[in-house]
Amino acid sequence: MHHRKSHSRALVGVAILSAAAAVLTGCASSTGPAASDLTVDSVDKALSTKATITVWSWQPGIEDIADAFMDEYPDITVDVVNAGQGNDEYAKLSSSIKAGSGAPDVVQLEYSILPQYATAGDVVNVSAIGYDDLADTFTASAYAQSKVGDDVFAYPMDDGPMAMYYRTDIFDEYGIAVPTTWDEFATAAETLHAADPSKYLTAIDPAGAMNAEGLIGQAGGVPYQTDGSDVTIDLADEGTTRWADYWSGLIASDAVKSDSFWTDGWWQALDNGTYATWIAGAWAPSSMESTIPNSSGKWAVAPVPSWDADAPTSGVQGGSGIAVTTQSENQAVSAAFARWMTTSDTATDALTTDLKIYPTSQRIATSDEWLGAQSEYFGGQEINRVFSESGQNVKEGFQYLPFQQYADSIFSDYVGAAFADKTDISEALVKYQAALVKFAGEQGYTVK
Amino acid sequence: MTQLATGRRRSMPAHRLSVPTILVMTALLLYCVLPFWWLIVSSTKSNGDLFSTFGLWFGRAFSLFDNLGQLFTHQNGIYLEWLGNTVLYAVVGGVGATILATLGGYGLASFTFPGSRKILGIVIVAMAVPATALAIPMFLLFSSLGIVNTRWIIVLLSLASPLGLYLMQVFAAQAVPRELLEAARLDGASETRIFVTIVSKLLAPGFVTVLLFNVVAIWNNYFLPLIMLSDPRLYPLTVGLNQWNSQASGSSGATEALYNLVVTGSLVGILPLIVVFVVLQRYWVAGLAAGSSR
Amino acid sequence: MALRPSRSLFRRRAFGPEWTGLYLVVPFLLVFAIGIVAPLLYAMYLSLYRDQMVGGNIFVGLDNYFAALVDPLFYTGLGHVALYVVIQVPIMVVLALVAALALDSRRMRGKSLFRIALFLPFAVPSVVAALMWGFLYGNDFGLVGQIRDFTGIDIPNLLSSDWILASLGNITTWGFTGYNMLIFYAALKAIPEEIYEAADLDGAGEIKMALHIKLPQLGPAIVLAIVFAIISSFQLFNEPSVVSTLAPTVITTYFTPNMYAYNLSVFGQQYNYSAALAVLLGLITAIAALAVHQFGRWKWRDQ
Repeated sequence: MHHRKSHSRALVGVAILSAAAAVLTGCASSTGPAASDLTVDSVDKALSTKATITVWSWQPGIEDIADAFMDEYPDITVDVVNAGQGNDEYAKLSSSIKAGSGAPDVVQLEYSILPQYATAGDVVNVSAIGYDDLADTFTASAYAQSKVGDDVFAYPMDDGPMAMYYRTDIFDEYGIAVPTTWDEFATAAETLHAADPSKYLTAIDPAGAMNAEGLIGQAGGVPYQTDGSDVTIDLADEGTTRWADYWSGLIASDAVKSDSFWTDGWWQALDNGTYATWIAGAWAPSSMESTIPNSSGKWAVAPVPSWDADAPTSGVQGGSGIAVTTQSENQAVSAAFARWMTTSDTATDALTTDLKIYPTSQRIATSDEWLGAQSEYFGGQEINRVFSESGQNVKEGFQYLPFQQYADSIFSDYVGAAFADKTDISEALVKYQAALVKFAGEQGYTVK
Repeated sequence: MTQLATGRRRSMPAHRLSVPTILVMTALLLYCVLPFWWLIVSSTKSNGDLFSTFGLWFGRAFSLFDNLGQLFTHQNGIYLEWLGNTVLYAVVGGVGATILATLGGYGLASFTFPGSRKILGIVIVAMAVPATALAIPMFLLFSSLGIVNTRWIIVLLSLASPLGLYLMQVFAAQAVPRELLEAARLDGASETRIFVTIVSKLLAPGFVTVLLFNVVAIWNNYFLPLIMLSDPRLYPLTVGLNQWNSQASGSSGATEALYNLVVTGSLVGILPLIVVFVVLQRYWVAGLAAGSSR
Repeated sequence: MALRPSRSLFRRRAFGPEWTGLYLVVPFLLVFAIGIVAPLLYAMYLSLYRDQMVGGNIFVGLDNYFAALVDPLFYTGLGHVALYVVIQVPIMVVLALVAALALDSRRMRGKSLFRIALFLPFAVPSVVAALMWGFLYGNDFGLVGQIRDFTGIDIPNLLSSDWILASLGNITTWGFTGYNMLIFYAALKAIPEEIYEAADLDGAGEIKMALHIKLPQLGPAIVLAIVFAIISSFQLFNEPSVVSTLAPTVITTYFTPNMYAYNLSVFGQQYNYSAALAVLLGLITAIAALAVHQFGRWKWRDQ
């Protein structure tokens, strides 16, 4: 009898402790402060209040901009935290939101992920607080991407109009003219690979969901549409199919290689010219300059090949804005900071000059200084002109899913596998679509 | 029976070397060390060299000192903060976890009380659910108590070492014979006295082994701090270096390739563990020698 | 063996000194409850709900578990780890045993050096391992590629789906043989002198000693190593995760059940289904681990 009592006693103690903790959290189901009643006025006034805000951004150098802000508005303390890049930050953001605390006041979000948080009500709709008046201060491309539906949810910080980076030395050696259309690109790919089987015109990333989305958008594909709780997922639409068939052909004929980007082997291949081009957003140059400085001077930038020679179009890959979280208890101050950071001359100049990110400010994007900047890495070329033109030609209309992060995470399971196995991409898209439709259904969406 | 058979087996005169044994062990040694050679060589390279020269031999320039300099100054010397955090978590957490595991293991091995046999079973069952999958529930749970994003939560959560408990139970069962304890009790010694004067010495080698495992495990722990911490100033090396590593693959904003720092930082981060191992090893061997002569 | 007094003399004694055992374990149990049991219970609680993007948090009972039981992605992952348990664990344990016995042998030199070298891999964190193995396994510019260029031997793509499990097993073996070896080595060192004396093996060879004395004494340590290796194998995450950036199509997001659960939770915010998967995986792992543990307790019940 003694025996049984004390046996259970120890275990009961453990159980109670754990259960208590579990119950406590079960009860904590707060969703943060209600959507605010921000006004233009309250945001303006916020600049002279005393407050401390936390900003999550992975952009190196943001602390310096925050310092400049604090010099101008000494009553406000801005704490910049690098909570991780992209997905790492989003994981923490999501779990902080679910937990009801721990989320920052201002957070950097990629445009493709913005709808996810906007539709969930996790970031503040800033249309009402004078954002619409600021439309002209931003480039058209940036402004469009900061919207979800008709409302604006983020202040654009940078942009990622796509371009084709190519090796001038390889092109010269094999007598390849810079392709301006996808047809020319295909021909050039076959020519190069036939002349030298160890080289490819470009590599394609099996985990490159964002690149795919950018190019599908360029091709006119609109596979995803969201309207409230209705979601349309059609990866067999005209534009998407055009993209799929094109790349299926190139991969199957070995003219283009499937390779994992951002790996040791891939960087080496870029450096030594195994891949003669890289199609990516406007953020690529600084990456290349710091990782593969040895091939400096051998690269140049050209617009992404177009489908139609007479009507060139482009796509976007990447780019991010900063948003105010609804969990924030200092929404007015946060909005004020975000606005300052993306519109004030001090901040935007610093972003472009010191942090070297792609400008979203119309003033800078149209300035001769920026347009005429020459890049040593790219053989003295005025690369910003190419990006600017690309940004203006971006085909509009592409929408992201409210669960784009999940969709991107399983991209390589389906579509990436088709790249690597050289099978038909359209077939892979059918399976990918099935997985996305299933997920949408489980999340309560009505799928069309 | 000759006198040689009794006493110190270890100090018998050297036997003829077994060549096959040495060959096999050397092969194993090379297998284990090869990736380290890559790490050492890579730490001497700059970014440019890292991606354009052969991995197992040096690059065009010897950049080790440049890399080290950059390592300790980048981002206002945050690497040193990370190193400090790692030491804190590993030492305080490691020592604490080992003490708890040792006491517990001894308790389970040398005493029979109701439930003593079931506890190990319960521990195994609880360990069977993967920690990575528990990471976010853990975050949600502790977030509601408001104790995430602090150094102490990491230390606290590092104190539970089920492996340590299991290991110490096995060691204690093997190294502490019950007759010894009974004899001491019959002599009138208190449990505390018994533990301090007799048992602790017997458990020392096991303690050192578990300490080593716990220190290394906490030093290299990635998921727990990743989930619990959002302020980079509190990160241990694993999370910090990983963040630097992904900093280079950008899709937004300017990126900076920090590969050379990741590699050099990893090398610098492993050195203290090697030192710990060498130091503990000496104590361990000495402890074993003392323990075996009773 | 003859020296051992009968324990029945002490078994019925007052519960005095034996209770000390409980007090000794309580501190551990406390942190264990907070750090491991509490999150586990909370995860179980989460697994009974579903938090939808449209519709909010609803109670679904065991639906998540039923869904997991018919989820082909779960079984794909389970298949991979089952293979791991059956193949990689024995290889690693045997290798560690051989190494420990060799180090304990009187016919070895330079033991400290070997101990450190074999332990080193365990000291490497996964971010570094990713870089290192990325290089070593790299098909074009990595070591594999270089060897192929130099020697002309056509080494197969170690990151292809045919070879991936073996390649991963290699990384695990590399990383944990030293760890297991240390456990065995410490256990070997703790074998009391009397055992050797009693066996009267003056002049006996190492192999005979290993087989007849050392191995039997190592029983509980071997069981422990196997139990932990089984748990680690079922929970396989780090090694495939490390390699996933190199071979994202071969290492799918559901390559192991643990990765599947993790990815669902981190990328899909599907905390509930993820928790159900984790608990289900835990159940399967626990059964396997407990089976081995119980076997060990039965076989070496008097030790």
